[in-house]
Amino acid sequence: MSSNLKVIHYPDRRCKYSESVDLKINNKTLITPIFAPRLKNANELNLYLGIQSNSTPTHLSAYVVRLLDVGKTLHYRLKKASQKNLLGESTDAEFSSSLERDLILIDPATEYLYYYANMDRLEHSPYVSSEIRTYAKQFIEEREKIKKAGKEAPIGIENSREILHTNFWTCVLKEANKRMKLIRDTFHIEMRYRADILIPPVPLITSSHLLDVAIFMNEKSRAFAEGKGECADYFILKPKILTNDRMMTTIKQYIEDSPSPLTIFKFKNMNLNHEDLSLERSAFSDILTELIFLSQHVENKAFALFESGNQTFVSAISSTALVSTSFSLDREDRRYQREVSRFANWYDPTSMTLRNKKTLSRIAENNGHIPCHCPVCTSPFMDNEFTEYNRKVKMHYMYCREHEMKEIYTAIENQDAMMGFDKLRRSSLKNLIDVIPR
Amino acid sequence: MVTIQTRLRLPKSMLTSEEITALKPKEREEYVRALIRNILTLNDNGVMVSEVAEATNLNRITVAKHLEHLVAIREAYKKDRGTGAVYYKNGKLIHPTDRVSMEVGNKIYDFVKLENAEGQFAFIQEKEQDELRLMRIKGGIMIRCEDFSQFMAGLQKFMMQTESNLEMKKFE
Repeated sequence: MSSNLKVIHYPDRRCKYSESVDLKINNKTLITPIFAPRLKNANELNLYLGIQSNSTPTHLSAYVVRLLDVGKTLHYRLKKASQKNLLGESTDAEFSSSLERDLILIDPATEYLYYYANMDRLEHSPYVSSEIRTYAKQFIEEREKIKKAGKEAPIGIENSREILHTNFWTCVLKEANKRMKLIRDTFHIEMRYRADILIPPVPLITSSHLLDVAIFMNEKSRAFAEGKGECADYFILKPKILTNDRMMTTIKQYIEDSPSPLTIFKFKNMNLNHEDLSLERSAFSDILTELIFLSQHVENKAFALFESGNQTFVSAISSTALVSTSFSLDREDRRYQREVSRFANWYDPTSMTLRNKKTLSRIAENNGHIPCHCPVCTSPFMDNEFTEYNRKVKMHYMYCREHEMKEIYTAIENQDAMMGFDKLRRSSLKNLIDVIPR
Repeated sequence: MVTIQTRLRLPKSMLTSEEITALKPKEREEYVRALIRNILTLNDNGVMVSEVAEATNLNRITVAKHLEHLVAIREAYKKDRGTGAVYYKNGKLIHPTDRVSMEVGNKIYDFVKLENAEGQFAFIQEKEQDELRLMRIKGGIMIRCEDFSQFMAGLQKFMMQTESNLEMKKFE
């Protein structure tokens, strides 16, 4: 089977465990490592496109949109881009050229069938499969019932969630109709919104049974995608699964045998810089080593990490072709926590962590300027009102991440194997030094 | 009962009959066509209708219909062997650079130089993009490379003739 996605290796773009390759798909060529921000709404898409038209960044050439957010992110821009003026040109040239150039990934984000956070949106979203809408409705009703019953409820909210989630995916595994409908509906929206690589709907892996379901769904989705487009393998995991040797071996074995050229991982709520996670760090390092081996020795294989968070840099330096993090900068997604500040956090490129506005003001005061060379930080913006401040902080984040990717690319070209260690040593993510394979 | 061991190479993941039935008719057609095209690609030595039907659990008539369609659009060619026919994927690309794509109106024409057991051919394939940006192959012709200039001369003569006929009609 010939693949639409081609991974092209260059002998002079390899340095120990790091490698930069070219990814070719649908007439688009991307140089790895790529930083792909996860865009949540039209404003974030505008910021992304703004950066693209101002500075043509080579390593910021992809973006990820959750299936849930497709309506408010891509819908109107696509509609506008498909309209033509009297001269036959697109009415949205900026977005049209981005469609020709940038890699678009639409994440089914099916882990939200486990978490309550987006359940109400899933229930009413026209972009998700009706199977998911029905499940979300049932989930919310069940939760309300348990809440009403209080202490008299036969099972708690946590147990009920576990049961409902597992039952849903077991039904998907058993019933061909349900399974094909879920895959078909998901892929249909992904294709309609111009995703370059199809990402299958898979469960959040919390047990070995759900791992089997995830593998099965990946295989069936690939079969269904035959003749439609490139289909990736997708694994959404809880960080604790990293320490489960048996399950990780199964995943590695599957990836090795799978003909799919792209495998995407998503570790939910993972921060390996945390002191207590030494076992997970070592397991993550092991899996990175394994993935490096596969990407360098198996023809046409690349890997991506979604919601990479603090692991963004360390994964990109370890041959992960594409890394993606959210854009909310730890602020807007906190629906059920009291909002501390309306101002988003500023990404400190030296410490590689997020700083709140107060800290940023103090840093700028001590230094006499904001210690960053990106086009946003050259003029102070701390006095801006919060919407403008957040806009600047988000742009700064993209510039910084792109700069990090460029640094990795340059280090590979110059055969500078120590760059990653040095950078992490100077940062607040010192614990992640252990993660870089040696 | 004697079971015949199929010699076919199959794709790693395939849908079961139950799953194929769960698809919408149009999707079913697309899936089966893509699957059969894939099986043809994987089997350089050719495939027979019965083999494909047995390996995929698809109806023989369905398999034959799709293989004939692939022959009609020149994606495949067939050779009669006794009572049955063997279908082959149509030729190998002579060189990766021997492929040109051209957009004319809402159609895309692929020009490919191929080689198969019968010689070298210029393969012209007409494609169209649907609303989901999927390429649909609408048809194709193959012209033997040695006959190409004769073919072009014939085509040119035909076009000139039709144009002069049009002029004559206008004059009348």
